[in-house]
Amino acid sequence: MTKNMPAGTSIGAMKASLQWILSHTARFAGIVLVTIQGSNGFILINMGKPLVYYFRHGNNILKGHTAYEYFQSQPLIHFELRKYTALEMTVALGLSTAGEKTASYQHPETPGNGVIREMPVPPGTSPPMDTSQKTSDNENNTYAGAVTRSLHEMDPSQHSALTGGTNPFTGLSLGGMPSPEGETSTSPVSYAPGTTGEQQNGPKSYDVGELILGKILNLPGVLAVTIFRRGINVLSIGQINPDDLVVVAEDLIESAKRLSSVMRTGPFIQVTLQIPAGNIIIAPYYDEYICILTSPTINIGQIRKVIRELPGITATEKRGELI
Amino acid sequence: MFDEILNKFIILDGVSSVTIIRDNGEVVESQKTEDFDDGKLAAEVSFVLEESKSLASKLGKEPLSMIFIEFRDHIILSAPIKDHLYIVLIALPGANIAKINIELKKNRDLLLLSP
Repeated sequence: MTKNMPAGTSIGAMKASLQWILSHTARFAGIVLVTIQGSNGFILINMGKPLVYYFRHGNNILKGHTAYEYFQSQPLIHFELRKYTALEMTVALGLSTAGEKTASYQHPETPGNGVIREMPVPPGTSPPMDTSQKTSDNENNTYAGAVTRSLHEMDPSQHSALTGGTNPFTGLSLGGMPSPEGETSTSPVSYAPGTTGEQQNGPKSYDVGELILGKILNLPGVLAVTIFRRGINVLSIGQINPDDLVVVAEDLIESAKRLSSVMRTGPFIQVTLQIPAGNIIIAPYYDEYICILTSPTINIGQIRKVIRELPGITATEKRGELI
Repeated sequence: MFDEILNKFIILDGVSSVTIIRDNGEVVESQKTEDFDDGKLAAEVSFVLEESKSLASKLGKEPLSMIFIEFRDHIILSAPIKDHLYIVLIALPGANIAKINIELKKNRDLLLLSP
């Protein structure tokens, strides 16, 4: 189905968790093309409302909640954002619905509201088999038994990231994603956890810089950005291997912050390393750190301006804490 | 031995300290207008240098040109001079960082030639 969807206009490709994608597409209308272990799928999103989840791995097709939970089980998903016009969105929705009507695949355990009763395999594993093929295998599977519940049955705190407030990973606004309690869709394909029957606004174009990291990505000379926390990469954009950097970067921050024991420095704002190839900038970003790689053309003044405008920095200074 | 050069930096607006340190944390020479333990500063900066070199090496084993650490109330710049020597400047947030950078570049040769 993915290849038949309207192409739209690409606004960027990157890696992030599903939670991050959902919490940063509040003003995005289009398709999120997903690639996991060489297989493809998509999430159709209209202004923060995921309308369709779809993933295909070989002959196995995951839709709706199954696809959602599979995406959610992945620590990082490689994806591309493609914005849609109103017409493209309509066509895409039509294709999704038509695909469902004509698809030979029928999920035997999918109730009318699209909620299935299987949870995904643990992160990092292959895509789950089509539930229709593995139901019998799972009957005696203690893991499956332990987690056999739908999103609707979860404690609200467990899906709070989908219901508005602040994203625990990035601290950014989640764009007021409604709770699943308002779910009214009856189509397994169009079921998307966290959606409601609210009126949907028309598609509107946004560039990925505004969508994700504001001015940083629009700044000339920025090559890559990564957000990390406690040695774990949360998001990376551009040519960067964050796994190589995050642990060392955190050690550097800890060293830099110890300078406050020598004098009254006030809160830590940023550290920039200049090397002939460019700059490495690291700054607190809410509860995470952001690491920006730039070309040598960007100067310290530009870096300081951008860092000061990061929302996380402002919050930190308001708290008056050393982080 | 670095007196003359350090004078050029300490007179810059907003600069409160300029120190030459070894990368093992030893203070070689220092001028300051602010009261703090420059020995402790040198020790802490040496740790930052070590971590910075480690991070830079992850991105292609390139040498460090400069380290810039910004706090709300102070800015710390450090740049390699030669061998295991580094210059460390402490400035107030309002200091003209571009001007400090220019002075660093202008005096790099002098720093290199210092005994």
